[in-house]
Amino acid sequence: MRLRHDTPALAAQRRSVVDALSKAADGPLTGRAISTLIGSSDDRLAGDERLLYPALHGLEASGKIRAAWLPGPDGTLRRTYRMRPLWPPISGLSRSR
Amino acid sequence: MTVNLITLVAFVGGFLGLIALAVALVRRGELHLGPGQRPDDRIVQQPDDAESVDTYLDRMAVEMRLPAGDTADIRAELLDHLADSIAALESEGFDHQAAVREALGRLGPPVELGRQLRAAHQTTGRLFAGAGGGVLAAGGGFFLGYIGAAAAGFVVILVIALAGSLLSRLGVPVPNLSTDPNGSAIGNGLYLAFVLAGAAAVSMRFAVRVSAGLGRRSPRGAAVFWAVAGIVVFGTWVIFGIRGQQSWVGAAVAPAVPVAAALGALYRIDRPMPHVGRWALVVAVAAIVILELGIGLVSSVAITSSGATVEPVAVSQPDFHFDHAAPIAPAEWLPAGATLADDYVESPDGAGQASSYFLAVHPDKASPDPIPLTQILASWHDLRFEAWHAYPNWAPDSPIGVDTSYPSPFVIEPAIIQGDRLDADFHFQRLRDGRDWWFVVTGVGPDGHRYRFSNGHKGWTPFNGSVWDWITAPQ
Repeated sequence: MRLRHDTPALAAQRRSVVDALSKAADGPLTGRAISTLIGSSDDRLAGDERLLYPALHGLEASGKIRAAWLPGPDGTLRRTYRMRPLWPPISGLSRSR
Repeated sequence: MTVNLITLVAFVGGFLGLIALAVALVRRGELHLGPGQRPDDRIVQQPDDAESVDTYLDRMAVEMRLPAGDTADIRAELLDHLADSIAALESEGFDHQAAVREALGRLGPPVELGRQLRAAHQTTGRLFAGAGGGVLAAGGGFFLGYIGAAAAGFVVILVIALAGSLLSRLGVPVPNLSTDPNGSAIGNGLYLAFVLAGAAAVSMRFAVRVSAGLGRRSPRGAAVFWAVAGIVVFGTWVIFGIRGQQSWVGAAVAPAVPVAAALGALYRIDRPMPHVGRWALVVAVAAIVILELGIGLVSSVAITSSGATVEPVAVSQPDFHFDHAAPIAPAEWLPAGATLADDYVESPDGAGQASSYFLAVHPDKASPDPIPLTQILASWHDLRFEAWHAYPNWAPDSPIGVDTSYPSPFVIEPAIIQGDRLDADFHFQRLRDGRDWWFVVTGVGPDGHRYRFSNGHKGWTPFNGSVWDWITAPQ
């Protein structure tokens, strides 16, 4: 999971993000929701919000997760994340770009 | 014929495919360079005594140095995150100001967050994608710009021709924009520079927008790179690479191509390129229509003009001024029937080989062996080919023959004996004023004077080389 120029903390945050998204059963999650899931764990290093968005955007850039703007409960678009499906490549969730 | 058709279809299809690929890449890049997918429409209440959310996000955005679209999206995403965090903290008992401070504090220093996000976005893979996409977009943009500029230039030519015709009818003197007084092609050089400048500008603009979008770089940063690359590549190409007829006007306007490339990369490069696909289609269709109609119009005029009846004109033998070069060699110093025949064979690049050989030098009709050339010329020395300027045959009412305004030949090549003939190589295509020439073979006779052996050979060789060849040509 560790990429180039990663610090140990960022690599840990990436692992935590992937774990959270892998366990998510309710579909795509916002960054805030992922942070809440990680924060409930015992890993204080991984629960650091300072590295949450660098980890999310790095994982998306490497193609390991997908991001999309989807309508939230109030109707406004929220940026959400989910694991990249193995097959079909894109299912039910359009790519963010 | 079938192979030619297949080749044509492959070429046209390849060009159109490259243009379509470039347009697709630009559209993809514009997604990151545009306003973003969701504007900053979330209003977060600002505390009075704490660092404002906007200030925090502004400082982060400055450090990110990402394209505008990505920056807007990240700002919107973090605004949502902060709004949710602040609401959650307030529900836990924080007052609003403390909730804002806590929410911002959890995200860390804005400069550090911006740096981390930049590192997350500007990956090596995206850098290569941006570079490769930029090269492809430059290629497609060049062809799109080329056909568009070709059509636009054609319209400009028609307008200028129409205006010139009207002014001529009114008695206003109109300069010749087609050729200069030496017959060098001005119009071709101007048109080519115009078309290439348009193509270079579109090419570099496409390259910057694609490489910035796919590479997640600021367009201004990418523009500097592509401007330098455009100046080097297009400058080298137009100065050293493009070969053909040249003129001083063409050489003067050639630098406009790399300048246009730089302007295309730099001028207002932050502005989005909306509706790229639509504009590309409009330009392509308009160019094809204009060029087809224009070529058809010109062809019909040419065909109509060619139908004019030509009255026969009585022609008398003119004075070719051959004695200006040298008097003819006395017949008694050459074998009987030794008439020199001249020939000139030109290669595709414009270089030529002049040859001269004596005809009918057979002392005995029964013998097939001619007199050896060394024996014919035994009493002659310093044999050479002299190329003299000739009156241009393209100019109306021009005299014919050797141009007597020149006191000496402009090229002298020693005559090399090759078997039964004399040879010399000429490179008129590399001389600025070697367009119309007339060569003769001369030699110094037994009396010490120079004579010519024949009336020589006339030719017309336009300059064929690069702009650099033109500038550095010996004359």
